[in-house]
Parts: sequence; C-alpha cells; structure tokens
Amino acid sequence: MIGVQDKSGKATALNFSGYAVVFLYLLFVLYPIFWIALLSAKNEVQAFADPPLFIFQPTFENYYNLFVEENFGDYLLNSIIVAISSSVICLLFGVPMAYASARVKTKNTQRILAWVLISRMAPAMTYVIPYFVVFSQLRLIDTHFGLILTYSTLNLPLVIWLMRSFFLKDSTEIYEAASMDGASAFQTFFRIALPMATPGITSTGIIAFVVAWNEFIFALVLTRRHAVTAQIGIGNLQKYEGTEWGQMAAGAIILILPAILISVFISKFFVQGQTSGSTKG
Amino acid sequence: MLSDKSTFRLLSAPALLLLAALTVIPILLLFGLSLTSWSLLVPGSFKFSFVNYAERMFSDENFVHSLGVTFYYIIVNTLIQMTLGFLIAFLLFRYTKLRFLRAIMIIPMLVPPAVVGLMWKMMLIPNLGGLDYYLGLFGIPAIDWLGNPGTALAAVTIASVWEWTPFVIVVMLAGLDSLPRSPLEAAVMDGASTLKTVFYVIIPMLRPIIIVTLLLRIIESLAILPVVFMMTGGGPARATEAINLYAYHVGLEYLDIGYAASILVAFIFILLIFCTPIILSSLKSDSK
Repeated sequence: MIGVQDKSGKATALNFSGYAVVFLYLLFVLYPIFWIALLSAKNEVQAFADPPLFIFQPTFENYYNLFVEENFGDYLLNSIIVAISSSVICLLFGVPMAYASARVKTKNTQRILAWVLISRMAPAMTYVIPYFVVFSQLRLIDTHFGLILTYSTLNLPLVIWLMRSFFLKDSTEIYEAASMDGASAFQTFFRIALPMATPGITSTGIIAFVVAWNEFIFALVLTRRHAVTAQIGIGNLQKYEGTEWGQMAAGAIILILPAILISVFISKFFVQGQTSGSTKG
Repeated sequence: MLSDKSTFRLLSAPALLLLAALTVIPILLLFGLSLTSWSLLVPGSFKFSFVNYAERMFSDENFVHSLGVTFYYIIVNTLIQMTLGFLIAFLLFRYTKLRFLRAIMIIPMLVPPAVVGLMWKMMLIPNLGGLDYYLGLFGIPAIDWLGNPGTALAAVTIASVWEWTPFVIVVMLAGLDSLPRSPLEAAVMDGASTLKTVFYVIIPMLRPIIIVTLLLRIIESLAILPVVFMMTGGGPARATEAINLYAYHVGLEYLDIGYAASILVAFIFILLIFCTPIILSSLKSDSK
C-alpha cells in the first residue's frame, strides 16, 4: 500500500473510489460556504428561485443594509474591541507564566499546567451562571470589561500552553550563558527569551483573537445591548416578522473572513515547518 | 536581588491568580448555588435546600429527556466525526498528491460556531436552502428539516460533523505522518491487504492519539450549544435540547438559578463519567 503501486485493475478501482470519497468530502466542506456567499449577493426573488440560481446579477444591498438598517457595525466594533483586548491582556499575563513554566521543570509545574488545561476544557456553561450572578452584583453585565475578563478563561490557558511550547524549543544553553554573564532571570526573560519568541507571540495572539472573536456563550449571557458582539448580533437578524436571509448570509460571510485569513496564515506555517525540517536533516 | 526561583514565581503569579479567580471561584459558587432553591422570580427563595437533588431532578421529564439528547450527541456525533475523520486522514496520507487540501479542510474548524448553526439552518430551509433542489433530483421531497424532531436531530448532527471532522483529520494525519515506516512496509511485504493493515497495524499504533482525540471530541459534543441554539433553539418540542442548553433555558430564561446550577453539577458528573475511563486507559497505555 504505502509507496507500493501495483497496477492491477482492483487497485485502480480502489484508488478511484478513494479519490471520489475525498472529493465528496471536499464538496461537503466547501459547498455551504460557497452557497452562503452566493446567497449574500442575491436579492429576495433570486434567493428563492427554483431551481437555484448560480449565474445572476449580484447585488451588494444586503451588505449595505446590514450596516445601515441594522446596527451590525456596532456589533462588529464590539467584537473587535473585545477580541483585541482579550488577546493582548492574555499575552501580557500568560507569556511570563509560559516562560517560567518552560524553565522550571518540576512535578508542581506539571500539576499546575494540568490544572490550567482542565480549567480550559470545562464547558463554558458551567462558568457562565456564576459569572451571571456575580456580574449582576458588580454591574459588569453588558460591559466590554466583563466580557474581556471572562474570555481570559479561554485565552489564558491557550497562551500559556502555546507559548510554553515555543519557549521549550529554545536551547537551555542560551539561558545558562546569559546567567553566566551575570544576567538576572528577569533580564534573561526580557532581553533574550522575549525577543526570540516574537513569531510565537504573533501567531498565539492571532489564535487568541480568533477564539475571542468566535466566542458565543459568554457573550450570549453577559451582554444585553451595548456590548453585544457580532456572534450574538447576527442571531438578532432572525425576527418574527420575517428574516432577511440575504442579510444574514452577508453577516455570516463577514464573520467567516477572519477564519479564512487565519487558515491561509496557518497553512503558511505548515509549509515553513516542513521546509525548515528538511533543511536540518 | 531576587533569586531565580522567586523570579519565576513572580512571573507566574498574575496569570495564576487571574485564572484561579475566574475558574475556581465560579465552580465553588456553582456547587453552592446548586444547594439553594434560589429563583430570581420568587422573592425570598434564596434558601439552603437539598430539593434540587432530592426531588426536582428525578421528577423533571425535560431534564431526563435532555440527558437522552446529550447521550445521542456524545455517541452519534462523536462516532461519525471519528470514523469520517480517520477515513479522510488515511486517504490524504495515502494520496500524497492531495496534501494541499489540508489548508482548505481546516476552514470549518475556524468558522464561528454561531455561523455554523445559521449556515446549516439557511441550507435546510425549504425553497431557500441549497439542498432541497439536489435532493429533489434523487426523488427526496422537500420537507421542513428543522421542523420535525427526528430530522432536526439529524440536521444538528450534520452541522456538528461539518464543524469538527476537520479537527480529527488534522490530528490523525499528524499521527499517521509520525508513524514509523518499517511496520507498514513489513505488512505490505507480507501481503496484508489495506484493510488488514489499517486494523491490525495502523490503528493499534495510533491508539494513544485516537484516545486523546476521542476525549476532546466527547467534551466538545457535550458542550455543543451555539450550533443548536442558532439552528433550532433546542426545538422542535425540545427534540434537540441537550443538557447544557436546558440549563441555559432554566437558569437564564426562567431565572431559576439554583436548579440550573444543580443541572450543571450533574453535567460535570456526566463529563467525568465519560472522560475518566478514557483518561485512565490512556495512562495505562502510556505506562506500557
């Protein structure tokens, strides 16, 4: 099988069905996104045409109305504010801890790291009712700050684990050399480890941004009007008097964009990883 | 000057304190609240009581029903994601020419869950949807997929398979790539069929990775909320309402905080029941 190609008819048939399965799966993955993109550029008559239209005069009125008739712009702004603040704050808190946990390899560090991971895996619903109760008392409901704070439960563990793996890749000799030269642990962190970790910090920051951007449950429970994020706002387009499906599709496309961009970014990382591995060998 | 040890402590302290405040305190509070009959709609109901665990939960049909839906999601969604994910990963591993598809395949994982729910809702709405026409070509009549209990449940499964199979593919492919070549080649030399190689060589070698992936998929299937919330809102007739969505409805729509907290405590126990054996078996295979 692997690397062994026999040319018999049976193998060809197997190969063909294998490719067919991959092709069908790809269709399953891509068709909904493609179709929503089409829907976002259709007017109401085109949207309900039977059979479905693939060639039509596209319109941008859905995108236009989304921002003019609905306040989707405000929702997007809230999402951007909360996602950027959350990733910056979690980097500020998490990177030093990641560095420390990469340098101190004791049983206690292992235990703390396990706890960090478990706290990330607990479903958001289990946190959100206590948050709701406490935030009501502290008047933090429907504020950016409250939301940013709760997103730390998702992003802080993420930053700690991802950045730790970056710091673990640095050779310990560099740190030892630094301390030989009389650098304190603080100086080693700020002058040597941090500058070397810049690419890791960038990619971790982007992933943290996407996590906060995509978050749903905390935003659903802890916002009312002023701090509503786009993930919740898009659901408000479903109305009793009838939903503007075109607008909803347009909103969906806007919300998917960061995902598409990051997948391009990550695939670049994949390629980099593969090429750097090959030059080493 | 600080010693290295205290420096490392100082660097870790802010993150640990913040995380502890945001995770340990809420969980303790959740347990505390679950022992009250507190409802925001009933003044003076903030009293210690065991009634949630002693009576309410077991006489509550909706709770029992939501348990059933949760088990359905855990078993059906996870099984389909794992099987399909492994199959596609294996095919990509075999047909190296298709590797460029990897970047495309991870897109669903990054699409916001709320959008996944809305997208599949839009796909399945009669006439509007992009599916009815094609199903019609095969003689399947256009029905209101999200309006019938059975089909709504299947629709949620399809959306969750769409969203999370890529995760399984990525992890399995990484696992397959890291396998040593010699056992595979030996199996081929001995004339083992592809199917036999997969079941007797590849799957046993991938066992640790499969276990961890399964664990993560089960946790995610349990926590499925945004997709269901956006697609069906838990309906029709509660057909797609899993336990955490039920807790949401009880706690944040009927404002029955104490009872919602006890449902979530039950939820945590279910999580432990499913995850502990998997973690134990992974520890066992580590020590081998």
